[in-house]
Amino acid sequence: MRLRFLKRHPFYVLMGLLVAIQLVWFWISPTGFKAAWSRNPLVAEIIKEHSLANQKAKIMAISYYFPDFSYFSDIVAGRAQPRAELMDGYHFGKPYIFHMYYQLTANYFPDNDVAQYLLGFCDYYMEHMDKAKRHYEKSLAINPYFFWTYYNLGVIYFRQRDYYHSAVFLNKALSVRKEIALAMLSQSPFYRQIWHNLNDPPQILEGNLMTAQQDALLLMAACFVKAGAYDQALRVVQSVPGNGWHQGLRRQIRQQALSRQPLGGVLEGLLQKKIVVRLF
Amino acid sequence: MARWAKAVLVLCVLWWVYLFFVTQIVVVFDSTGYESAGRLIAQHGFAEFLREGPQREPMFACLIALSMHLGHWWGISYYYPLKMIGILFLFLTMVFSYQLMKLLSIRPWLAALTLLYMGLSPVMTNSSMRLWSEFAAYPWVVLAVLWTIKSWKALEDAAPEGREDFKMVRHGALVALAFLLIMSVKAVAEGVILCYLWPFYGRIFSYWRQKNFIKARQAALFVLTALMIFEGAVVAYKWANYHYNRQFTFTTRGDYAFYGNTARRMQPLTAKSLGAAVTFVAGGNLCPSLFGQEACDFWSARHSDDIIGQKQKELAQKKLTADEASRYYIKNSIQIILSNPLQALLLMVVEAHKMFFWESAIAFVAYPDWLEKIFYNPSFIALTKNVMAFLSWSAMLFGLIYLCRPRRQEEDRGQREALLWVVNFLFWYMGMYSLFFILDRYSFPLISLYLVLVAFMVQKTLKAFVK
Repeated sequence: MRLRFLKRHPFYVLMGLLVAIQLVWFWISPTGFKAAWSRNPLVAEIIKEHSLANQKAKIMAISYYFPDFSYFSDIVAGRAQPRAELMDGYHFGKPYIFHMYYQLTANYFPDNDVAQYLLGFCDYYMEHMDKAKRHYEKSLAINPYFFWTYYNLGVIYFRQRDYYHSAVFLNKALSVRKEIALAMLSQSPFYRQIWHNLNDPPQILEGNLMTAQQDALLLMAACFVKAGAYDQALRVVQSVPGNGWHQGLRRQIRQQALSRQPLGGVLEGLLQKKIVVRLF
Repeated sequence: MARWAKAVLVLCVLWWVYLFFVTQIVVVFDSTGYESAGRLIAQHGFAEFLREGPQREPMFACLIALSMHLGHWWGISYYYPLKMIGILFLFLTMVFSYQLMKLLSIRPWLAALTLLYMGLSPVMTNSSMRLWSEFAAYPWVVLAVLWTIKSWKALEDAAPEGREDFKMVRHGALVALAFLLIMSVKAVAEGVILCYLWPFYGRIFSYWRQKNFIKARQAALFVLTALMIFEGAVVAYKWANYHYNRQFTFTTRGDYAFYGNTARRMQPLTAKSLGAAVTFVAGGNLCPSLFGQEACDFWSARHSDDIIGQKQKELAQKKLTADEASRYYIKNSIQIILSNPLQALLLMVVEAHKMFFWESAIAFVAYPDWLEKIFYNPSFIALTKNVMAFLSWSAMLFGLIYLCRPRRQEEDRGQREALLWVVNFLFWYMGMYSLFFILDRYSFPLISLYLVLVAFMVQKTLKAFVK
């Protein structure tokens, strides 16, 4: 039937072919239909609305999983301890779906270092060590200026008895200016969701940072003792200001370094008990 | 199709195309389950879907899998093919609804107006463009009613001869097919079909009494074919589930959802809790403002879920198998109902009214700002929801009264028969759902039937006023 049409109307077939070639050409040409189509104000508006809807859908999805941030605020203020069952689930009708929330945020916004950081915290307390390390490392790859990421990685490696990596990360943590960490905490909306429930956020955040710096020094000194670098350990331990339980631990590490004896199991256990992965 | 209806369809298609481009699906809660079920089928095939089951009803997961394949093929997100399928289903629903309105002798302008509302309704468009299963049942519900009307007409008009038997078998097969399509989205169809065909059971009996055995045989053939094909396919699917995951069931949820709702509903009733139950039906702030949050929470899904959670823990400690647990739930639910059948019936009737509050139950779609301001505006939601609930409720009542009063001489018999099947379907579908906790989205497959019924009521009322 098609062939009969070709024989009867060769002119129309030829014209049709030419139009088809022109259409294809105009479609692929940069000055052709496609470009003109996207320059059309109505089409441009629809394209804009479409990309906005994509962004909005992500934010809406995340907002359906808002956890009860007051629990994380309590952890920051030292009023509550991180517990695995309160990282991802419902407890007495309250949503403690932190892991799900940060996982979704990290999926939708893979370049967000804060989501990766907070996901690392959840995974650590859910006893997914490797995942926690991976998320902290991803966070560092995006933002290498945040004290707490280095600190937490240092703590995790210490607990895993990888003293070399622990010392490396703790050293980096101590080399980052604390003002940068405080500025990041105050600017990110994900951190703000947590600290805005606190009574006096600047004081608590700064206080936590100071404590963590002392912890980092102690752990680093312990790492040096473990590695047999007693002189370095002594230098580090001297710089620990030391008050409260820090004072006691500092004294013990110093004694170990002075007597050039390896770190005992009891002292290591004490360090692991006192110095833990923290939110911020 | 009348010119008006065609114009409305074109207008609606343009609106849907706009929505297709400017909206986006929000994947949360149950959607994530549907998504992973669809991915399972797309990546590992249907057998794996059964092996990891029992799962939810299969059609929507298959549609997602199809969308994933299409999306992969076209190099785009699977959301877009899925939205296209949603639009296609909406279009089919409108075409079938128009056919139904023709059988009800609804005037073309009124039919076009009804179609326009159907095509622009926030809930219809919202539900067709999100990752929840309801829209997949829309066309099949109307199709099931349409084919039953045609079967009924065929039975009434059939000559009392043996050669008409095959025609009735064919009609039975078509009705079974329509119900199977509904069943593959909403498992409640298994209960609905058994009750819905009652006029045919009555016909078998009445023809038998009139000694019109050939017609009785034709009616019986229709019923037997419909039920055998339907149940055969359902049982085959259950066997497939048994083969792959050792559970002889169509889907999960039914048994324990029935138990949770019954146990919650049958707790001692006071005047205050009954008042809270009645006002909770309408949703919004009505119940908390009158009876307080605690009294209203009792009637919420959370309470049923808590009961289910506790019972599941208890049965897990007893180490019951899934089949044993299922039998336990059903047996206990029936015992609880029989302990106070009046209260059970009363609350079934009260809570079934939730099925009328379908409009503006929208969520899980990101809209452009201007549409969001309209669709998510509390006043707009309250207005459309209550107006459409009132209209649907009145239309249902009108339909029931219209059918119960004796037929006048001048009345069109076909119109009355069509109305019978529309009301009959609505009644049994709502009745079956009243055994469970009703979420607003459960009523979505009925929207087209509600709107058709509203059009019928408006036409009859206008006619009465014009006279």
